[in-house]
Amino acid sequence: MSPKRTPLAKINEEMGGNMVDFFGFYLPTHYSTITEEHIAVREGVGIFDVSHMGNFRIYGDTATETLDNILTQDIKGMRFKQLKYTHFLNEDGMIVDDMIIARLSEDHYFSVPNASKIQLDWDHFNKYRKEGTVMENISDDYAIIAVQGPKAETLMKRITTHSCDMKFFNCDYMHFKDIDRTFLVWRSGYTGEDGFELMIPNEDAPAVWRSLFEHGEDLGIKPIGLGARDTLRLEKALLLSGQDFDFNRTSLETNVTWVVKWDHDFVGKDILLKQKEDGIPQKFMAFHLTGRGIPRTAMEIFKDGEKIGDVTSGTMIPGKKIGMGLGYVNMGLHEFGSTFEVQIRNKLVPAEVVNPRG
Amino acid sequence: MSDISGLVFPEDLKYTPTHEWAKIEGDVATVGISAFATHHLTDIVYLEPPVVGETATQFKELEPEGAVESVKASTPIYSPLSGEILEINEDLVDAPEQLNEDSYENWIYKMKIEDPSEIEKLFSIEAYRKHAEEEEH
Repeated sequence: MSPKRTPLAKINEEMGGNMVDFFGFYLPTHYSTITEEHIAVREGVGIFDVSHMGNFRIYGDTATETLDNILTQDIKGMRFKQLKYTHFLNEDGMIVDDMIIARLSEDHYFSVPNASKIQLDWDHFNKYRKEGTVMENISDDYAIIAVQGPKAETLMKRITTHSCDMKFFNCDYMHFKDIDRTFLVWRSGYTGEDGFELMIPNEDAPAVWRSLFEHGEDLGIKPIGLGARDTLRLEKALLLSGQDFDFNRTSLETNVTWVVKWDHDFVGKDILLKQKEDGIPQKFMAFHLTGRGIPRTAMEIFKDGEKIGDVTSGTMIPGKKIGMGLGYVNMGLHEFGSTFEVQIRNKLVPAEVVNPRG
Repeated sequence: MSDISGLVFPEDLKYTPTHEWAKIEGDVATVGISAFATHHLTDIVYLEPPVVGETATQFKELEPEGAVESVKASTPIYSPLSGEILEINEDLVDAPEQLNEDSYENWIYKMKIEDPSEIEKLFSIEAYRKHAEEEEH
C-alpha cells in the first residue's frame, strides 16, 4: 500500500525533501542535512510537517470523567486552554502511549496521539469510554505544522494578530493575517525549544506553510525533516513512543514520573502502586559517551563486567561530536554523574549519565 | 526515490558490491567508500577506523573494528581485498564529515595486497555503475 500523502506532500517534494514511508505516511527524513536542520532549530526557527500525528476530539458531559480514568494526569484540575503531557497505561501498568491533551472548554478536549499508534490509542480510549462521552478520530482532517526554535515567537507575531503572550503548554485561537482565518495553536513541541504547533484543516495547510516561509527568511527559517526531529528530542531526553517504551515500561521507570498523579483512579494505577512499594527495577536516563563512538538502539550497558541496562535511542549530537544515548539502567545507577560502559561492536566505551536539560 | 545519475565514480578505481573503492598502486591498495555510499548514508559524522597491523579478508567486514556512521545509521566497511592494514587516514578520523564533501579525496585506509588475483573479482567502473543503478531500483 502506498503511504498516505499529507496536505503538505507536494510542498515537501518541491522543497527537496527526501521522502520516505514513515509508519504509512509519506514524509521527508531531511531537506538539506540533519545537522544543518538540527542547528537551525537550536539557533533560529524550523518548520515541521507533523501531519502524521493523530487528532482526537473528545467531548460530552462525561468527557472529563472518561479522560481522568484513562490518563495518568490530573484532568479534572486542568484550566481551559491548558495543555498537559500525559501517559496512559494498560491494565498491566505498561505505557500504551504518551500524548499532549488540550482542554478547550469545560467538557471539550483535543489530543494528539502518535502516528504509529493512532488505531491502538483509539481502541484503548473506546474501551474505557463512558456513556455520554463523544469521541471523534479526525486525524485525516487536520495537518499539524510545528514552528520550533528561539525565533518561533517572533515569526508567529508576524503572521498572526495574536500577541503570543501565552505561556508554554497553553493554547489559543490565532488569526492568521495572510489567510484571514483563525486556527487553534498550541505553544508546545518536541524539540526542547520554545515553539508552537498549529492545528490546521487540510485545505489551509499549504497557505499557512507558505506564509511562515514568506515572513521568516531573516530569522534563518528552514524546513525540518524526521531525522532532525529525532536528534532534537533525543538531545533533550524526550521519550519516543514505540522505541523508548513499547508495552514494556511503566511511567515510574521513565524520567517523567510527574505525569502520574496519585489522587485519582486510572487504568493501571494498582500496578504502579505495587511497583512503588516493591521498588522500581530500572530507570530511564540520558548519557554522553566519554570515549569515541555512537550508541545505538539495543546496545547493552555494563558496569564492572555486569550487564546493567540497555540503550533505547542513540545518535551523535549534530554539531557537537558527542555520542549520546537514552536507555534504562538499574535503579541507582541512573543518577547524574554515574558512569558505566556501552558495548559498541567489540569495544566497551565509557559513558556518563547527564542532565540533558542542565 | 533518488537519482544517482549525478554521482561521480572515477574510472581508475575498482569497486565492491558493498560500495567501497580501491585504488591499486603496485602491491598497495588505498580504500574508501563510493559516492553512492556517502549519498545514501547522508550526514556522515563518525569513522571507526580499522586497526593497523590487523589482516583484512576480501569482501568481509573489517575486524575487530571499521565502520562509517551517519547521524542515523552505522554501516560496516567491507574490505575490497585481503591483506594487512598498513595505514589509517587520521585526518579523516578527526573530521569524518569531509566524506560528505568528497568520497575519493578522503581515503580511509591503505592495505597490502596479499593476492593480486583478487583484483579481478572487483567491479570495473562499468560493472559498478550498472550494479549501483540496479540497487537503486
